[in-house]
Amino acid sequence: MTLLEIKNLHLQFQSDEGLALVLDGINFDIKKGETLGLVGESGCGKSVTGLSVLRLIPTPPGEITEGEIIFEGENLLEKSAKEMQNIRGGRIAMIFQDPMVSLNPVYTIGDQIAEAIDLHQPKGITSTWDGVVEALDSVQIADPESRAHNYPHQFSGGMRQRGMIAMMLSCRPSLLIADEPTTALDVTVQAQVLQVIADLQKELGMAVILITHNLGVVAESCDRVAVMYAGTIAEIADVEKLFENPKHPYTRGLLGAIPRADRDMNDLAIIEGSVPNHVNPPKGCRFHPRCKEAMDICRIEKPTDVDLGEDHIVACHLYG
Amino acid sequence: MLRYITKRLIFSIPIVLGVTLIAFLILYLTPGDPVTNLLGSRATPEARAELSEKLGLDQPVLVQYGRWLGNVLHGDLGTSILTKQPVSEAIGSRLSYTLKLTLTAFLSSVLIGIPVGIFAAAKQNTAADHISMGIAMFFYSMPDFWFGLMLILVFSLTLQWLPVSGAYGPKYLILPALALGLPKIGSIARLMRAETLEVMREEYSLTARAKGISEWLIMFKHVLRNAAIPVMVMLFLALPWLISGAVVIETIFAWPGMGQLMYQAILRKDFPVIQALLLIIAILTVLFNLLGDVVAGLLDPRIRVK
Repeated sequence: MTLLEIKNLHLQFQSDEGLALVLDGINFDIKKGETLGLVGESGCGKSVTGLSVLRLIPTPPGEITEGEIIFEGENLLEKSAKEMQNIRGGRIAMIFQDPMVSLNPVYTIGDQIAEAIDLHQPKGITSTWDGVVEALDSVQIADPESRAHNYPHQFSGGMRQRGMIAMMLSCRPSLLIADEPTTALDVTVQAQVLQVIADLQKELGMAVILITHNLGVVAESCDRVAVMYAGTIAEIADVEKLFENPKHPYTRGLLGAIPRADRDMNDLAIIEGSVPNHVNPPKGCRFHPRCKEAMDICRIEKPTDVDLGEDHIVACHLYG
Repeated sequence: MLRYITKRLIFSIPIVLGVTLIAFLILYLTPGDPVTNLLGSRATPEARAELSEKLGLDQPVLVQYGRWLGNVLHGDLGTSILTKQPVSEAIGSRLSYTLKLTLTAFLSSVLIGIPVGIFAAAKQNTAADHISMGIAMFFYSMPDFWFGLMLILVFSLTLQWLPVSGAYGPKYLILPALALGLPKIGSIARLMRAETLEVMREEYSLTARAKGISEWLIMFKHVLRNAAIPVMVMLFLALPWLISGAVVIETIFAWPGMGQLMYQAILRKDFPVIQALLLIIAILTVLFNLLGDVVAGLLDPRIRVK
């Protein structure tokens, strides 16, 4: 059953250089309880896609000009500010990249969790304090009763990210948008944080959009993957299918660029060129200047989504 | 916390002593002396020597300082060379006037400056923001004595609404307090706006928004609590500055406070009075610095001392 469906989403930003088309008609959906990986290079539009779902894009300079975001059957773009406040943190939660700066330094962890609980009043919690302790316990913070009285600076990085997860999941949302949740953490605690998310996902039956540029994380935690390139979605497929049989030249390039311990570093494939700027993107397919298989049509016409069957979708003229 | 405060107080003793010693030396080095002021320039050398000896001015400067310090430690601030009035008495009768003036200026500049700064931040880059910050910049840039003269010109001489000078009732307080407070309104409003904007851009403000908190609550609970920390510290640093700033304003408005006393004492080289006033200002500065740090510690758990 589809939980969230994004249809033809266009997002633009007013910048000093001109109008930047940051999302150029993206489509994807996510089913209940599923984990969707959103991967791509820096600046490809992964994070703004997450922020758009919660309508957290600062306007101005950002503006969603076209498209629909259907969550549990309702278009979020038509919601009032008040309705969005109920959805944020209540039905859709989001966690960010750097836990060192994403918690308010002057309130205790417990206070910040309690604030979310008081706001959304999730079912099945006897009191706010019980909810706080339970939330900290669920992210494996030892001695949650006394840790709730700590301030963020008394937590380590990994603990802060778990505290953040506890806060955001205390109200049992049906969707979590995790924006590079492990990028700023030590490798040793990355796995732990991902495990905490996976455990809670199972327990709450929640869907997760995992925004990352780490393909290893994707392979390990995701059911499906959407590969983004310069504000467009290049390819969406089940994770095994994508890694075994990538169709889009960009996806192939990305996978070829993963260093492997059993191969010579000199064989590492690179994608020539660099990410285009959003103010003057290439005409037609935005990837064509860097694509080894580019054809004449790629320089003129924007590729449409081609369904290769079994939920494998690719936006490339090679398959059109 | 108590240990921290005690430690800070002990460390502040050499600071206060240093300030008084430097002040003493500067007074000694500047031209003019109280003997000439008292006896006139045509006094006989014998009369001068006699008075110098009586006042202790014939001693080496460090001996004079040591003697003064010894007296202060015994609670004796000395006697005014000019009026023969005990210094503590002279200051005591003027203290309440200065406090009345500076606290009125301070409180009104806080009560106006902080809301204006928050308002401008909330309305960033709108006409309301630009206009209020333009005015604040103007207030901040002009010296207080200029405001004093302009206020007298407009409200006393032209409109005749308020008295020019003196201290005979609440009406007399308005203009000097305004002259002293206007530049502070400017600096407080600008700092408050800058700090508020900075915190609004912090990621934890985005977290609060992602949690579903209303914009109003984000501003008043999450943003302002953080933005207030540096502003509070600045306010405590500004308080002793206001008291010394009152020297010029009290002179312009003939306000019988410590500032006016200081002005007269400097003109006439009345060493004991100047020294005592500088001592009080130094102690106030150190105390308010400490108080500012304590308040910052209360507001910000990261710098709270265990």
